[in-house]
Amino acid sequence: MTCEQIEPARWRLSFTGPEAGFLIQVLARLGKQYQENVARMPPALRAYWQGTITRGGVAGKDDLKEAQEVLAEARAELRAERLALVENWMREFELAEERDPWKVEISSAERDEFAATLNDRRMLLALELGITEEDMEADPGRISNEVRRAGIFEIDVLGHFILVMLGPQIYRP
Amino acid sequence: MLIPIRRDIENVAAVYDRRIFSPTPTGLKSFSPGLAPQRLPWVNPEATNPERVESYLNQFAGDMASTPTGLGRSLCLLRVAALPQPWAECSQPLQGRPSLGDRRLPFSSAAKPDTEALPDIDVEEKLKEAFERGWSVIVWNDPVNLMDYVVFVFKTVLKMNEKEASRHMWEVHQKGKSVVARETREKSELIVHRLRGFGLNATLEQA
Repeated sequence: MTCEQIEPARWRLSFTGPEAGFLIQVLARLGKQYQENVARMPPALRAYWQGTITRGGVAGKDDLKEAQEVLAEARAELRAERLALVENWMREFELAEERDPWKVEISSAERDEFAATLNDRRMLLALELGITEEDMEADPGRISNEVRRAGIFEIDVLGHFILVMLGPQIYRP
Repeated sequence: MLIPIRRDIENVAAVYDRRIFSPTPTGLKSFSPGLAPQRLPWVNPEATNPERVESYLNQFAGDMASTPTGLGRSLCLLRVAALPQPWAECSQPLQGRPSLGDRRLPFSSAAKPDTEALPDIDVEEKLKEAFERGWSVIVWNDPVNLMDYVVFVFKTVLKMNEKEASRHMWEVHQKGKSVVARETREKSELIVHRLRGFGLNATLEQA
C-alpha cells in the first residue's frame, strides 16, 4: 500500500490486489459490526460504543445520566456514519475497473475518517478476542489459537495501513 | 501499553500469504517486539518527565502561582482599582486600556463614583469559565492503539503540538492514563466523543 499526496489536501491510496482483497474483507466484517445492536453486545464492546462519564471514578450517578445518554447517542450516530462510509468504500471497489492495483483518491478529512474507521476494527477485534498487551508483544507465530493469531495479524496489518495513510504526518521510518 | 507498529509488516501480500508466520529465508524473525521505547526517536522519554502531569493543570497552577499574593490572575481580576503598589501591575489584565484609570474602589481616596463603570462582562465570563472547567478528559492506556497514531489524534483533536502530544502519549503509555484536557462540561463531552471516534479510550470525569 502507498499513500501519495496529489494536492495539498488530497491523497491517492494504492493497494495491491491482495491488499485490496484483505481490506474489502475487513470492511465487510466491520459493516456487520456497525449494524449490531449495542444492547446485545458483550459488556466490553457495549462500553466501547457507549462511552463513560464518571465523577470521582464512579459512573451512573443520576445527574450524570443525561450526559451519559448524550454521549451514547453521539456514539450511535457515529456508528451509522461509519457504516455509510464502509458501504461507500465497498461500492467503490465493486465499481473499480482496475483492482490490482486498486487506486482511490480521497481528501485529508476522508483519509483521517477512514483511518479512524480501520482503527475501530482493530479495537473491536481486540475487545472481542480479549487481546492483551502480552499478545501484542508476542511473536504471532507462537500463538497456537488460530482465531487469536488471525486477529492479531489483522490488527497489525490494519495498523500498518493506518500509518501509511497518515504517513506524511506521523510515519517516520 | 500502547504499541509501536510492527516494522516488518511492510509487504502485506506476503503477510496475507501467511509466510510471515514462518522464519524468513534470511533467518530474521517475522516480528520484532520491544521497539516501543525507541519508536519515536525524536522523543526522549526521560526528558518528557512523566511526573509532570497534565499541561492544562500545570498551566492553571502556573496562573495561580504567578502573582505575589498567590491569588492568581483570575482571582485578581476582581481587583479593578489602579492601586499604587508596584505588585498590583503584574496582575492587571486590563492594563493599557484607557478606561482602566477610571475604575476605583468606592472606599479609595481616589474613587470617582460618578465615573462610568467598565463593563465587567469579560471578567465575569472568564471567571465563570475558569470555575466551570471542572471536567477532565482522561485518556486510558490500551494494548492496541499505536503510539504514533495516538500522537496524531492528540494533535488533530486537541490541537497539541508534537512535543506536547508525545508527552501525553508517553504518560498514557507509562502511567496508564493522562488527563489531556480540563474544560467545561460541554467542551469536554465533545472532546471525549471525538477521541473515542478515533478509537482512543477516553472518559469524562468531574473533578
